[in-house]
Amino acid sequence: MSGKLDLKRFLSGNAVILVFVLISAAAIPASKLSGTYIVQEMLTRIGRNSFLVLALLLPIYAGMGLNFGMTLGAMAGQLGLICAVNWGITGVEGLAFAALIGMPISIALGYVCGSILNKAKGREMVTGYMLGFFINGVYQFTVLYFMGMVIPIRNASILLSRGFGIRNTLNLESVRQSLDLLWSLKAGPYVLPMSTYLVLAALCVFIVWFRRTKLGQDMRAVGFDMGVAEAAGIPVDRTRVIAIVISTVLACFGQIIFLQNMGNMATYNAHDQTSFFAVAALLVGGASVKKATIPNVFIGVVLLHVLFVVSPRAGQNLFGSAQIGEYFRQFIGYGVIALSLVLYATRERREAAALRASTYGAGRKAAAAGGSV
Amino acid sequence: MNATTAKRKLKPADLAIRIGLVVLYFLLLALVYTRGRTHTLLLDNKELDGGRLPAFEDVLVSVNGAEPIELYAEDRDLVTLKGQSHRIVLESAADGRKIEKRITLPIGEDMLLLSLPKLAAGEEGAIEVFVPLDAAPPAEDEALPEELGATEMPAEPAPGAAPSEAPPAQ
Repeated sequence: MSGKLDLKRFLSGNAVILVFVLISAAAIPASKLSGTYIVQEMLTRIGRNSFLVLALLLPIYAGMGLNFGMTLGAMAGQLGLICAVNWGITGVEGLAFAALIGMPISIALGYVCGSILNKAKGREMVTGYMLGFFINGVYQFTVLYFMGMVIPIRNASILLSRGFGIRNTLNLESVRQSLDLLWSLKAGPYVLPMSTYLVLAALCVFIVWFRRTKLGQDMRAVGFDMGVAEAAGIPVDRTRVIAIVISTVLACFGQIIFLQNMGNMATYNAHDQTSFFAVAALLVGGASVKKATIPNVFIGVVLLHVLFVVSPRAGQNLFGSAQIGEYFRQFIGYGVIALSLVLYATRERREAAALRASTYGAGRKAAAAGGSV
Repeated sequence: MNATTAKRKLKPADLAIRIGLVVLYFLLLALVYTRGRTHTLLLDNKELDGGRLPAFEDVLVSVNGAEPIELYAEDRDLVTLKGQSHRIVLESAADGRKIEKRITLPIGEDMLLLSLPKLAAGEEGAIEVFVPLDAAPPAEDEALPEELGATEMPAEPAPGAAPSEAPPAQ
């Protein structure tokens, strides 16, 4: 009986990750891609995407759910990269410059986002998502009209032919893979971007250290129960704003790392799905709205991207169209978020029902015991 | 009220740290800007002042120890350089003369022209700002009107929409 319950709990607790493992296990042979190719892709994609996913952890610790508002940080990072390309700053210095330009913008946006989320407690995820759309409008207005018209742009090659507004696609050749290639290691058939891994390791160490600080403990207390934290004298709103600000700044850096690996930037929509893919990866890794760990990040990035790599080829081989694999990839991405949120809500409801039953059950038993005396 | 009081009671040490962070931020910004700024340098091997400074017949130019570039008289080539200070080595193929110079590029300029005869002679002004013809700013009166942006990309009529002009009378 207990074994059955344990298995049930394990299955319900790891449903998303198990579904993904099963789908990947079926799709890998169907894709007919070599193991070496898939492993190399994973090694590259871990470096490219993990920073963005790690940026989601702090708001979860603070009980604010999945920070869809990280798009704001991504936009700040893109503005930094536009400035770096505009002023002709290349290589790692170009990335550092972009990060330095993006940092104050993302702090300001994070502060705005955190303050708004404090007014929408309990509905942080949808509010953050909507806020992303709003700031996207401001970003587009800035980049499409202000740049070249109000903000001077000296590099004519990045301007639209009309003389203002940035081109749809920005060539990041000047900073392309400058972090990845700063120190890369060749191990057999694989190339490891060690410098990017070092940056990721530093961020992981920072997160572990931060959790142990006073502020980190406060954040976890706020995430556990805001009422109790408030009663204990923790400045709840301020702590939540700090969590969002740090997350937004990390998202800014993460987007810069992501785009330097890609080598070009879709100026007007590169940030659109940043939060979506980061959230999907974290949930695939076994995290939930309330609980996430560093291993969840890496498991999720690997599992999600294995499917991203193999699904178009599997679609091509199975159905004769790579487009089917692309559709598959899209609906799996959205589906996993939906499945995870539904499972989380179901579990919450079940736990609440169990708590209610145990409370009332205990009360009834006590009443029955009292009556019989 | 409490927040205001807290702001007023900011400790001098905290204030100093905050000011220090802002200063550090701008220092870092300046550092990465100067170290990462890329310039295009045109290596120009042309005679100057009617032959007062003759061009090298055949010269090898190495910038920062990189693979040398061979230039004949009246040749011009370009290199892309990062940062401000660079070491240039000229090696004349005719007489085997080797000249080593250090140049400093002005930070704000994208494209510069380095006259090799002037550099070899040690004269001032070997580096000049170079403005390509197609990148020269348009004259004030030739500036495009803002409205042109809209006329460049006319809105496409919706499918099935009525034509904007009436058809000619039959």
